[in-house]
Amino acid sequence: MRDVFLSNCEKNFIQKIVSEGHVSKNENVYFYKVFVIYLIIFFFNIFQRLDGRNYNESRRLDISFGSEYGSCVVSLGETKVLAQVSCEVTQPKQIRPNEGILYINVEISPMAAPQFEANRQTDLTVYLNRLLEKCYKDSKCIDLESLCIVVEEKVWSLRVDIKILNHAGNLIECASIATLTSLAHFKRPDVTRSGDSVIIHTIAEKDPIPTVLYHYPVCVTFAIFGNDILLSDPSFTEESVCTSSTEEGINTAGGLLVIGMNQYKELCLLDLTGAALYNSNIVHKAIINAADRSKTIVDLVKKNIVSDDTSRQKRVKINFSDIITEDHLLSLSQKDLSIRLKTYNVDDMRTKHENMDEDEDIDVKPEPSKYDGNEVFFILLLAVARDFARVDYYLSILQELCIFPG
Amino acid sequence: MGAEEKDLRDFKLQPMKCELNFLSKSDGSAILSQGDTVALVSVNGPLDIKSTSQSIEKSTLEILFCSKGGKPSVADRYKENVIRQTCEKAVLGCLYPRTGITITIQELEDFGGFLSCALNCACLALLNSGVSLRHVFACVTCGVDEKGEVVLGGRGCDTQISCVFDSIDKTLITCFSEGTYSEGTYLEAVARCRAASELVFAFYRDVVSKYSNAI
Repeated sequence: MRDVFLSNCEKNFIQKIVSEGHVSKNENVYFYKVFVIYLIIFFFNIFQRLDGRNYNESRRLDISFGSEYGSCVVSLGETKVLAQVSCEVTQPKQIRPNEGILYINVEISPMAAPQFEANRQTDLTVYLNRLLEKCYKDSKCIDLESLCIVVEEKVWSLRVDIKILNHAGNLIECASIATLTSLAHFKRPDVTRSGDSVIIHTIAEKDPIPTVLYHYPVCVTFAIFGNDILLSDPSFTEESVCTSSTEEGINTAGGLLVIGMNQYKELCLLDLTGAALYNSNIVHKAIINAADRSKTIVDLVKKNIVSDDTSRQKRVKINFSDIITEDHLLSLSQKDLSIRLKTYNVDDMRTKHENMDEDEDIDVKPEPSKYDGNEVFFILLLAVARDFARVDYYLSILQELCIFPG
Repeated sequence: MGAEEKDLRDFKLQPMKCELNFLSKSDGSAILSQGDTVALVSVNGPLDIKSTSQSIEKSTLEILFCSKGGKPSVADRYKENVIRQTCEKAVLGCLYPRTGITITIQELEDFGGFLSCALNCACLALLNSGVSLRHVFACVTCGVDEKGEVVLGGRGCDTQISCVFDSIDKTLITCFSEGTYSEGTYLEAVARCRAASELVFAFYRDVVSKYSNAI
């Protein structure tokens, strides 16, 4: 299937949402005006993205492990990535006879989104692969020398297979967390050398050895809108809006900024796609944000690995069947909605839904439909209308506060 | 969403757990665990495909099997083939001429009996996607132990017979096996699997009734 492109209407809508909630520094505003506006933002928290997040808010990060060492599913909101590390003994490269080999392989199957074709490399696959290689191979976070068994003859070669299960935006960050987690979680079999022969022990014979990581780099993505707005963890629509050009007359400067950073706040990678930047301040701002974000991610990854390790020692069975829950049963009770309103509450919806059903029972008997989604959607529309009215209300307050003192 | 585990245990089928709509970008998706074996299937379609693989009279099924790590192998092609043949029988393809339906299977855990888990999961994903089906299908595996007796589930047996049945007449659609067995054993295995398939269909009904009034 061909790519589905965003309509101009959609693009402008997203652009507008993002830019209206922003206090531009170029505008000639008085100090207290800015102060009042920030106060309002603080109290009402009205400047939000389409899915209800603030500019600097990321989606929920979940990490679950499989039964084998080095296999994990990382989900960042609805984006899901499966990573699996495997190892084998190979001959080292001639120029580096005492170093092991690390391969990173990214695959995007039609499972991720219908526009991807099976067994075909797309630009996105190559881009992801290259970024991850830069972030994990070139930053020398893995001690490759410890993977050597016999110099010039036998070394371990680690292979990281990244499979994209669901592409709902910010693949780079999700894939990099998956790579990092699986590498840190992976343990290779122990090896003993006696004379010329090399014995590889099974896990039952000898405890496997964990991979040595000098530091934990992670790629954090920001979407740049209008050259001065940073959105962390962009969703699929935000990603495609900020990298595509819009109608003439609207500021087209936007793009995706990828920052690779480790837990010591050291930069490992910097990558910009999209239009050129006018000033470098935005990069500084992004780096400061990325430093905090990467620290929290790495802490979470480490915490997850430690808790997984302790439960493995207690012989608790860990399996991917644990990720089966009832979260996706009803689309409206999802934790991450693509459109979320401030006043939204699942329980509110439920009581309304029931009332609605009663009303409908009086009028017409509803047909048994395959998905009972129609009524819910209707309520959502109502709620959208209601919320827009509130936004207007907020905006009027804001205008009053800004204009009268000035 | 675990099925009534007691019933399953009586029949010695492995406990099953399923979640539909696991992936947001696919038209239909399901993740199913049978015991420790876990499969994830996504269905996209009917959608437009390149003209060389279009068919005038029915939609083309594209099956992709992804193993957990490493490169695709011949064994994967065999599994794809089994799933394609089974699904082609079940999907009412003549309703969607000149289109394609893509079924992608991702292996998550394989502790034996993966193909039967993948088949059941594919059926649930097809149900979830809303593609028209002639019937649903269920795959049951049984093993033959050293004494030549048929055991349902059959984990760890050298000889394994898997049968796929349709939901309407309970006729055998697909059968695949490993190892050697006698003709009598085969007939007994088919009969046992047919009886156990009822449980799998009941499980499907259980899962789907959570969000829909009718299949």
